[in-house]
Amino acid sequence: MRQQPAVSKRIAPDFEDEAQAIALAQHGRADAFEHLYQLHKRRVYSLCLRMTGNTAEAEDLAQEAFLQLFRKIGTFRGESAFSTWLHRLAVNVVLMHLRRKGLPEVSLEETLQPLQEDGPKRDIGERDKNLVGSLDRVNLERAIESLPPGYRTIFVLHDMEGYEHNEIAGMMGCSIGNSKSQLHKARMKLRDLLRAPHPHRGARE
Amino acid sequence: MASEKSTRMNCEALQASLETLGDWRWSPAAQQHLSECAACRILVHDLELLAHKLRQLNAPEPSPALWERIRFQLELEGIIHPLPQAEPVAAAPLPAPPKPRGNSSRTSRSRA
Ligand SMILES: [Zn+2]
Repeated sequence: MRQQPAVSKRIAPDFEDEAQAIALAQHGRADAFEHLYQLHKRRVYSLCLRMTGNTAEAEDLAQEAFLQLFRKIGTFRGESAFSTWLHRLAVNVVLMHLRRKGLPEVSLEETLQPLQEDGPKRDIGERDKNLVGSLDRVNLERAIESLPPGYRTIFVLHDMEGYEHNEIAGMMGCSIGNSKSQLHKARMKLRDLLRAPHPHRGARE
Repeated sequence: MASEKSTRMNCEALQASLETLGDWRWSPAAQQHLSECAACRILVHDLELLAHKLRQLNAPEPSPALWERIRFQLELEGIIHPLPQAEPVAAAPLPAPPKPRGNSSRTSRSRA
């Protein structure tokens, strides 16, 4: 493999790897903290953004997650991956925030029509409204943002962040079955949003 | 007729399996149903397409101000020690912990 001296992107001045940056951060080195921040900022921020759908809130929450992490960095012993730790922490910060706001993390069953009535049967006549045409990045991001909060949380955690249902159930204090059915409903809702000729703006109630 | 009822049952069963299966591994019965039911086929196709597109989404970037805010707070709380302006460590007049290297300064305990 080629070993290029890495065009100094100023994110990794002295650090051989993440472990070294962690060790130096544990001694209070500012550049080590910045290095860790740069490594993980996108993933943490996007998690916050997708779960809240609001950039200002997302930055506040990402800040809170990093601060909580950095305050505790002295206790990090490497028994689990640093990124796992950080990410779990960020999820908790967001969930706490949603709880404080009083938003439903898990939707009520009534929010969507039962799938049997609303699902595939209807689709037959709507073949032309295929997903393909509307599935560019912008539409997809917009549709995710317009998912009702209760659906969005589990959807983001599972389909975008890669958590398993048992992990989600643990984090959210719901059953695994609940997590699965919420995920399914979220996917169906997202599909609906993407197939609709006009986005359901303001049709949240 | 009976066939209509069984199709309906199978649509429900297939949707139920969508809830539990994350990775679309179909049972023979589900495969059979999919081969016969256009609606479920479209549904599954859409969901697979969605999953595929989701994996391609880039993580958005926070504004540069975010690090400044975090850094400010870390300094305020005394968690980080600001670096001297220019050179990171080398030129720092701070008493750095001696590195275990063949340096000019010999520590007395290294040689017993
Ligand atoms: Zn079907």
